[in-house]
Amino acid sequence: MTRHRSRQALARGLILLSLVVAACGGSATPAPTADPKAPEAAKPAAQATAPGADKTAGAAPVAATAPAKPAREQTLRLPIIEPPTIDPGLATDTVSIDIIAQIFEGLVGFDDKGAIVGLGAEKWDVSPDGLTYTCTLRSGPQWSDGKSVTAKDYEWAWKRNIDPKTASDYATTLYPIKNAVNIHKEDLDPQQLGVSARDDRTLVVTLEQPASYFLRLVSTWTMMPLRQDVLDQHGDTWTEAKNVVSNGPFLLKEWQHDTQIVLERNDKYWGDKPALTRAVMRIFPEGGSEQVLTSYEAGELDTFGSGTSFELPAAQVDRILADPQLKQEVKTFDQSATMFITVNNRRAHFKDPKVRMALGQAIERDRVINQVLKRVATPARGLQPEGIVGRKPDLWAKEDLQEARKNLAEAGFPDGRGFPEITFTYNTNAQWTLMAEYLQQRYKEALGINVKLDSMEWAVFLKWRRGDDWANGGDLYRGGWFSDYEDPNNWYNVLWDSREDPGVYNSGWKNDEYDRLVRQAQGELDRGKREQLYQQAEQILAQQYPNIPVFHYGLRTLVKPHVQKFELERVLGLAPLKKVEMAERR
Amino acid sequence: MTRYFARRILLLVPIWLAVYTAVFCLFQITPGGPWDKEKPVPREALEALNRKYGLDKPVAQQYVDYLVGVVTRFDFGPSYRRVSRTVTDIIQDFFPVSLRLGLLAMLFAISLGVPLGVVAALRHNSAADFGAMFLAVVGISVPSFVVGPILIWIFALTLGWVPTGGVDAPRNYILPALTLGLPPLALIARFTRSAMLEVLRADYVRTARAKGLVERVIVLRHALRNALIPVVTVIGVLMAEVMVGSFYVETVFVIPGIGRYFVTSVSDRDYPVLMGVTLLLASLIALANLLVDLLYAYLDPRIRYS
Repeated sequence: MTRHRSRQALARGLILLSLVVAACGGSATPAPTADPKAPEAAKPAAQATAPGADKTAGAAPVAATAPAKPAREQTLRLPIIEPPTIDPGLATDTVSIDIIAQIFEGLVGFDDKGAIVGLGAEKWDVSPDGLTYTCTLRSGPQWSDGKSVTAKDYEWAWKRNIDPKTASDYATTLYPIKNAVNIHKEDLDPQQLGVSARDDRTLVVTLEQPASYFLRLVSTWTMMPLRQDVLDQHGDTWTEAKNVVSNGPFLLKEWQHDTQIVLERNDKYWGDKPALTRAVMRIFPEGGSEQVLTSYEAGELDTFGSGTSFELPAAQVDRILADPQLKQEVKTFDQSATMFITVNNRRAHFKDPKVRMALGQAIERDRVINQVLKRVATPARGLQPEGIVGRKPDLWAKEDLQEARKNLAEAGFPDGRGFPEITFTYNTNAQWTLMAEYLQQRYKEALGINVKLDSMEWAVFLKWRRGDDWANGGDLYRGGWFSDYEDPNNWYNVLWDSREDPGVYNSGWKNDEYDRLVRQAQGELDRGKREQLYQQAEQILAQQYPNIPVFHYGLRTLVKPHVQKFELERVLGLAPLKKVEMAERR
Repeated sequence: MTRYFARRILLLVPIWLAVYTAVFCLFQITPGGPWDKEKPVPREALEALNRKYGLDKPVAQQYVDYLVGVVTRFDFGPSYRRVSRTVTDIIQDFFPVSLRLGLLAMLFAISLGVPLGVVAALRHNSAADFGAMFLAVVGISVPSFVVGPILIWIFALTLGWVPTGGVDAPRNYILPALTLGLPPLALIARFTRSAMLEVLRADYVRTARAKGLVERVIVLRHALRNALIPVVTVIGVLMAEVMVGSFYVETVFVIPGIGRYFVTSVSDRDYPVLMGVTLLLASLIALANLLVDLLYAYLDPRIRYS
């Protein structure tokens, strides 16, 4: 999944403006670019640390935090952009998913240590062959209209989402379930999906093949329960605040389009109730990070954002990091995500892994992060981010110009002689333009390779990279991936297996041994063995170097001191509001 | 007069048709569509989407279907991207906001622009003239995405008189209306000035002076009324432009108006929304022109429509 993209159109003018205002020493400025360009940053950005770890940028002495007194009014005010939908079956972007995660609840979730815990499900039994999951539902959970959440609600929702008529982008989440692929792709009746409610509290799921990561999938938004009667009654408008019926720790109280969304604590929630009673989400224009910052500094917001909607405007980062108060409020979070350069492995000049390695070894990642893009990120040596089982960055080629030149020479192109001119394609955006210009210069100077740049508007880019122009004539493009769930399956299988979305991420790279390993790993129930298989797969990837890892994304936001436990998850940068507490302001 | 009016209204039909056809053709040739997503959309899902929105039909059929929907049901279609919303919902919710803001901005522009132009013309080549025209040049040349943030910085952040954005309260409209109204103000002031300068040299003004009329009457009754004719023409066009919303002003001040949709619906390939908003703008411009023509008749008794 990719994060929200920027509205570049606006950016141009606005950058100019930022300069004007920055020069006036002011702080108010408009400007877009949702896409992250970050700071000159004093700090070498986020070093990978434990999940959800946050660090305040810059060290300055401020009142040691004594246990804060809870505020009387537990209301959090935060900015978002207008979510395209809050239908869990249809959502594809982080904003929508972030809201869905607050107002809906599925069978299972994860605790702080990443272990699976039951939410809607009290317990689940897995048959020894790993094919049948029998879930016993809790008796407590209720829908916002007072009815109990039943196994039928899950069954109906899953069958609805796999139905091609629903056109769910994330229907692939359901693929491990029996018959799912045939229903989605071959017109089999959705009623044939391997899920059934034995009674109100027992849900039986049958899988096509063992899938050890299945519960990870069950925790995602596509697998939330839905109310058939509500969807039948209201059709496409069931997600409007007056119609929606949900079961999460928060409920959707108000959705004034393009203006604000108000969530209220669900007082009938079965589990630990959130401390927050209200979350007021003001809707800003996409890419309106300057406006958000202005509003935040005027004290109208308690945080700069939940998740990935807004990034600190690059032109303001220096000022923020120099401001004694503001710099205390900066928080950074690592993301389970990688920015990489996709290499078209079908082309003759890229056939030799040494060429691909040379292109990877020649990139100066620290420079790219801190000087070119000025963002929070961690240099990536391998493709898989922290937290993905099997990952072994040390196996991957190390950044090293001498090695790069040597590899290129050994592949038959000493000093780039005889290497054709190649094209780097990217979606038009201030940040990727900088990246492209860097690559062009670097490859020319370091390797003697000429690079042509080609940028496309986002929608055009998405179409292009699934088409023949890319497959037959493309060389490199700006790629990236954000984990939908933190499991090796989401990387090794979904991205690099040769049968998946052919050509887009694996870009024509095919290795039979690799495919065999990851397909075996995906069904392996024994944890140790599974890890071993993925490690072997990682070894092949590292030797073959199909794509070029550049960095692992990080997020940076601002949080007022009176907001406690506002943390962004590593997966999709979601901000679970049920943990947040508001303290008395000092 | 009534017949003239009716004819002009009828003339809107071919205008709409032309705009509709042009925009429809552009959709057909634009690369990348609404369903081009990160993940591959399976063929069945794609077919389901196309069926749902009638995109599986031949292009000619789509062209006609939309027209029929608009004419018979006043149905401008669903939004591809905002699943729970229709184009009509979007226009109903956001156009009034843009309209309100636009009217305020024009009110500000006219009530200040016309007097400023008159004063500049009367005190031709004086400090007042230069001052007014300097202001006009600034108004035209400094873009709203610069003016807006500066106003926010002064009045919202430093003085704290108004919020930084949003439309929760009437006072939120003040800064955006000023920002949006500044360029039209400047244009109106310049047009008024040059028209006034010309009229003030006209024979009938000299006659009025010779008759010994008081200056106030000469300026307001004789000079200004005639000078306003070119000014009204500009006002008509500016009115339509300002009312359909400004992407920049709406973005800077976080205003849920229709102008934003002009831009976002293009990058989202949300064709029905783009079509609806474009037709709305076309209608506004056409209506504003009609209004201007009617005003001509009022201002200049020689102009009669039949």
